[in-house]
Amino acid sequence: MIDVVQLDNGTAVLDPGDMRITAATAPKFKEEILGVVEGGSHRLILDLKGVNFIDSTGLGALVGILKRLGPRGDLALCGLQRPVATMFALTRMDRIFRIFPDVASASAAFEQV
Amino acid sequence: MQVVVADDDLGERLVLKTVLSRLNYEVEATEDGAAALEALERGSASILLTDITMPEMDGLELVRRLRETDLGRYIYVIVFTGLGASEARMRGLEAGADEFMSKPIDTASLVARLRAAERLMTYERDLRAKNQRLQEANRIIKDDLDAAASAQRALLPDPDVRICGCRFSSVFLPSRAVSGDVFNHFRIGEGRVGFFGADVSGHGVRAALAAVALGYMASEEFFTNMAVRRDDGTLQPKRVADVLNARFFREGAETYFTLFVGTIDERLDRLVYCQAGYPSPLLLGSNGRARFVGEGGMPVALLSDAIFDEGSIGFAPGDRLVVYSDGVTEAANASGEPFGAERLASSMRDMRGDLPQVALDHLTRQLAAWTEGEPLEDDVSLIIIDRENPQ
Repeated sequence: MIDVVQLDNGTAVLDPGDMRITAATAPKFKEEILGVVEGGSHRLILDLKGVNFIDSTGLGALVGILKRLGPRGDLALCGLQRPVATMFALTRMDRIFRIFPDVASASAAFEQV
Repeated sequence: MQVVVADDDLGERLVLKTVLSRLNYEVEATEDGAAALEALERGSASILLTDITMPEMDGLELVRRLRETDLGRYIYVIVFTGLGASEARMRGLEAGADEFMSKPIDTASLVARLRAAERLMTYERDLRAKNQRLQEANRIIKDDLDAAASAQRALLPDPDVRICGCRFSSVFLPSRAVSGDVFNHFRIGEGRVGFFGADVSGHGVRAALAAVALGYMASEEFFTNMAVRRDDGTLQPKRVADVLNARFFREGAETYFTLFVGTIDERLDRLVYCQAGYPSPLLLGSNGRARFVGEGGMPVALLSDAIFDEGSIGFAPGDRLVVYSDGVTEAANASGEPFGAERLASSMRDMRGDLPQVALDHLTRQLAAWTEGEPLEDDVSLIIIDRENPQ
């Protein structure tokens, strides 16, 4: 279950906890996050500090979420562990997603908009 | 519903037969355990009513034997005991009886018990039928997966091919689940070679189908048309990624693939490549140096407006390039640690002076030792490209 915290500035912080986002877990992961989006949250911070691996299906799911949010929504990622950061660099997804060290810096970046 | 009765007393048998027939059961009345077991094996009854005391095989032995026999269906067993025979009931339960009734038989409670048994047996039969359908469906899915896997494998090149001064040696290790690795190499004009490695995201039939479609499309003709500029003949592997991105991208779909396209010009000793999310190949120079090639790049068919880049390196006789899918580096050992690019590089450096097939065998064995022979989670593609010295 993904832990959701609503911040005062209208941003939802999502923490999926310790997991691997793979073919086995990605569909449920995506469904839960899209549930939050459908609940009215369009500014999301996804805290990946507990995620130690993302495979190709997992990356596809993240891009799917980004596309679903569309131009009016906002998604920031933070807390990337090394294997996840390496994967993002290899696939250049670090240019597609907004990536921050932690929730505080991601939230501050949202405030400035 | 069919019922088998076992009782050595002729009078009791007749009474039971009459009562049960009136309740619309098909009854086969037998006079001892052996005859009852034979009737159950031969017919399709799903309820057994048995007395305990019988000559030859008694009721408890009958139940025990019945439970040891695989009839492919469950038989609900009601055992007749004397009044208050708790000891006999205990032994009956141990033997595998489901229910007990005391004699003389009270018709009303017999009817109630039979109805309960019937409900259970109908439920059991439905479950069995569903299970059979599931097994059948599972078999069909397995066959489809096997067909997809062999279609995918049929597209792969021979494991040892020489094209224009390059020797391509490859190995493909399929994963437990069908997944989507594909690679190939061809001559794309005078003194030029094109090659690619691709890995479709996800597993199963969808990934394998996409891999097969990609394998068919990325043909020698396609490469020759796309990767070589028509006007001045320069190499442009990026165009392969551009065209494949346009062809394979579909809004709302999440199947995409990582790709490495390389083109080698023998006369210029150069390799021009486009890396699209595929792992960085390892270059082992004839000077003894080893390094990874490429800075990464967006995968193909993930984004409609993806931008692909080209890079270029010297690739002269004596140089070796090792192309591998992430199934190699992500193969995990028992404690979840991935094999990793550094281990791959170190293995390939050790085998630098060996024939390519020997180096591939060595690495394959190291991988198997790392995963302790467990089936691979993801397809493994390994291609060694040697620039050979002119004869």
